[in-house]
Amino acid sequence: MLDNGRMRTVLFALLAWGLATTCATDAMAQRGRGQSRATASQQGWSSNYQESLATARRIDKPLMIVFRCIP
Amino acid sequence: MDCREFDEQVVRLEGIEQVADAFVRVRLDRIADSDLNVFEFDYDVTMMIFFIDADERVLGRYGGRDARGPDTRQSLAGLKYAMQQAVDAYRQGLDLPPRPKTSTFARQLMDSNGSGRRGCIHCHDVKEMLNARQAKQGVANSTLAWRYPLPENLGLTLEIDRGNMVKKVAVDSVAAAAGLKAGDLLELLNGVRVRSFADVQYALDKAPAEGAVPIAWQRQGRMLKATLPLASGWRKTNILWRPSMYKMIASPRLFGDDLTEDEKTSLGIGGKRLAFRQKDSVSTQARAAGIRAGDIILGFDGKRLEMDAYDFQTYVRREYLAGDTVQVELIRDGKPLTLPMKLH
Repeated sequence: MLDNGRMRTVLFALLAWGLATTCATDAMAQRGRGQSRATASQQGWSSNYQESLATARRIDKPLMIVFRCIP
Repeated sequence: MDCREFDEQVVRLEGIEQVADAFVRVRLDRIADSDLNVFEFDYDVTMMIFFIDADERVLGRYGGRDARGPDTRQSLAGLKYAMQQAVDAYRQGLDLPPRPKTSTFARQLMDSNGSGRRGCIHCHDVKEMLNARQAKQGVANSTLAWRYPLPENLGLTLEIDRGNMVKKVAVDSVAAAAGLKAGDLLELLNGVRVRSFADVQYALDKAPAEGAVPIAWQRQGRMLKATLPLASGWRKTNILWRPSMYKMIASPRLFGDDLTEDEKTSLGIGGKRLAFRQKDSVSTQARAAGIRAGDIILGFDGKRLEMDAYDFQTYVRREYLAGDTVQVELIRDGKPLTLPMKLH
């Protein structure tokens, strides 16, 4: 049996691990999105739809819209 | 795989740089603020490409998939081809269907569902919200499930690198009966101009559950037309890969070992035919139908199934939906018996 002090330490460690795992998953998804946005921007991809519509009208070009749901 | 590699190649414009310069390029990794009436697609996929003009009229689409994987219907050459077709259509000033008069945004859908959710909305979340709304209006599961049918359902296989070119026509299919042949270039399907596999799926999604769709194609510069008859059940397509469908996927909840050849022979059952003995643990679903441990399960709905007990699980998941009632055929104490069972 664990005493109260050790039990508290174990519970705290488990809680911290759970929190860290959740945050890491979110952070990884965010980082993935951030990285791909940066690469896309370098290659001339915009992420501003309304602005792009206005640009397309001004320069008389069609638009190519890529929807990418990053899992 | 979730088409990540293909997506990265598209972002880097690998092999499509020249034609890509003809477009204003937009990449959206959030769908919440996009108009679903303009960007109407199979929301179970993780990537879809639209070519539109500044009035938000659709010139073409690229994307789509089947149960084999997210990349099976895509190639950079195919994308390049669809892009070039869209540019040509734009320059020729072809008549395009007008932009829908109303708008629907994913964010609004979420709010109206009262989910209170504020995080990232995945594309399949949109599909689930749309399904929930339609289910509330009384739309049947079978209508919600069989979306974006494959051209193969009508006997057509398309080239990957030229999405509107017929690669193969299945013998005895409705496409074969209509006169379509390998090498034909699809022009119009159900009123939708076809430039890619995604256009075909979109056109077929708008087709009725039973009836007919018009089709037009080019062969050696000649335009040909026909009507493809659509028999009941033509939309049925493997949905096991669809995240929005998990709740609709049925399970037989019948488990057991296959009968041996000798056991089958003694019961007068052909060697390849499905026949397994229900094990001692009987599921609630099966028990409610009156099925008992030791029953010899032969299949559902009078269909002669040539498969084993393992493949039967996949067969049911592919062919039926949760909520369907099936007629379970079995043998008990040497006598044939049929019991209705509701699938969950």
